[in-house]
Amino acid sequence: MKRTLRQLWAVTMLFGIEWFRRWPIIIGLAIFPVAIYLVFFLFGGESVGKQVMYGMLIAGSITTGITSLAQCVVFTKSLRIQEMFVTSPISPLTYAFGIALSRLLPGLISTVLFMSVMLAVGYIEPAKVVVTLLLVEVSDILGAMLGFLVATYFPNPQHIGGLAAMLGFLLTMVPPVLYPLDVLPPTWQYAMGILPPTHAAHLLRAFNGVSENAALPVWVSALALLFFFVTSVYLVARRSRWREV
Amino acid sequence: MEPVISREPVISVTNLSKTYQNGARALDDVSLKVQPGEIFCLLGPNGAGKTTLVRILATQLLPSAGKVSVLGQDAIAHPELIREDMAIVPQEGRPGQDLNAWDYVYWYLRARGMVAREAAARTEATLKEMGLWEIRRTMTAKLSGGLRRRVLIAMAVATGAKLLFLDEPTVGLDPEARVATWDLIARLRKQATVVLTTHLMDEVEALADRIGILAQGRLVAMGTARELSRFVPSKTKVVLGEGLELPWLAARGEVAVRGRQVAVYPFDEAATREIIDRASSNGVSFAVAAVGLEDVYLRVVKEHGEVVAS
Ligand SMILES: Nc1ncnc2c1ncn2[C@@H]1O[C@H](COP(=O)(O)OP(=O)(O)OP(=O)(O)O)[C@@H](O)[C@H]1O
Ligand SMILES: [Mg+2]
Repeated sequence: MKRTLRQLWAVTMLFGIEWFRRWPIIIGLAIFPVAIYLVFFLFGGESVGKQVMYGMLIAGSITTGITSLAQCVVFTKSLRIQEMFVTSPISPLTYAFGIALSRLLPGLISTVLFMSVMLAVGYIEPAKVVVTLLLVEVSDILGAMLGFLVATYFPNPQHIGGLAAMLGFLLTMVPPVLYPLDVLPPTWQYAMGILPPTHAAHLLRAFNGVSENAALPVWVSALALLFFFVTSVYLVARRSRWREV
Repeated sequence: MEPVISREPVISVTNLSKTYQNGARALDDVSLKVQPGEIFCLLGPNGAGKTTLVRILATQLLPSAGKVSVLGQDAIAHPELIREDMAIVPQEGRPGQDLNAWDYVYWYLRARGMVAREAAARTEATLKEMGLWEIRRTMTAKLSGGLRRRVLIAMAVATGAKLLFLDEPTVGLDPEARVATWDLIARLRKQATVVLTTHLMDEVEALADRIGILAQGRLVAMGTARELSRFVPSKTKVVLGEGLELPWLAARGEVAVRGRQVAVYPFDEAATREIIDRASSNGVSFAVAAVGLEDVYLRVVKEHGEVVAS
């Protein structure tokens, strides 16, 4: 166990250090949601702005998870660095999670920066910061797992970035992430439930008391998110096979 | 690193075949053994199946048929039992992220489960041996191709693995770095078993205990350099410039045209003298040289190509 954690940490560092060195990207990721917020605030006022801000937390983490991870997996494969990990005691799951974490940690910095902005303008209560962050990280990991899966199905370095961006767009623009759940009729609320970001955003808003008259109960979203999380981890474990045929 | 003491072969391959999903037949009924502490060199033309064989042995690729035993374990059924003791330098691998040589070697060792102190010590030692110590803090993306290649070799060698796979490790290295890498590999001998693929005959001559030659997926020759020299009929060859008629030469030895030169492997001593005499009286440049591995290789591969073509 201790050894596995050590290995996990090392894989994370190996693929993550470069991101810590790219601080402009990290800051850029933090500024982006603030800019989006300003746009919506100007056109829709405070309540719309607040909705969107919470949505951006989820949308941002899911898209960065998907795209950066997919790119990273394909990148390490095409550079053949991955082969050095296959012929080694590192298990495929440790490798997959290490890479995922290597993208999450720098993403976490931008999330924290963004949430400080939210705190400063009083959009989030200090007592709710930790759970909020946790929810964001869960969707981050979900995004990363999806990115990993995309990369295993479409191992083409030329297309992977675009494919992942498309998937990220679909997952964050179609479901009620940037817009509130209650604009949809009840059947559609449940229908959107097949997309995990719906639940992440729903939970996040409910927890932070952003008003939504949703038909979809909060506990359903909690269970659904757990289900998606476990399933994606399971799928990654199955797909991250070391050996080619 | 503890010395390898077992007498069992480290690698034992029986009737191994590999057909890729697209139908390409890369290996065809290959059987071979590699002994502990040996440097085993795999030679063969482009597409012969060297990388395929190495990747199967390194538990990256599944074969279509055959048995593969590595370090005493069934490498097909239980790869996890032997990966601990193996490391590889992939043929086309290059470190290209925003990481420096130290990061790559150190964190790779840590990822393999090594504790911090040992990983740091080994990283330092290996970087120094590989001539990378001075540039350890330079991002690999900014290094020249050969230096990046050296980082990869350092990663694999620093592991201290009992079994190393080096797939054309010295491609792109300058002569000095190449010799330094040979020294490093030669020093691993006895402590580790090395399987090395290459197209460089002097690399094989500098390192190999035994040699296997693959051609079109078949193992067409195997043995020590001396054993392989039997594939060529003469001990010496005459290398001639242009000017002598080929049929006349072919009556006195085996003829191979190589660019603007002609190599003749004379049937006997008398033929050698005849060729030299004729060359000097016609003002054709010539040199007499001992038959080397390159001659063996070219002949074996050519012969095999003809067999397949007919
Ligand atoms: N992933 C793959 N899918 C399909 N065919 C492949 C694959 N990899 C290799 N091949 C084919 O298998 C054969 C052997 O290739 P391999 O890479 O093992 O040769 P090699 O001896 O290493 O050549 P080189 O000296 O050029 O490195 C070739 O015909 C090649 O086209
Ligand atoms: Mg090859």
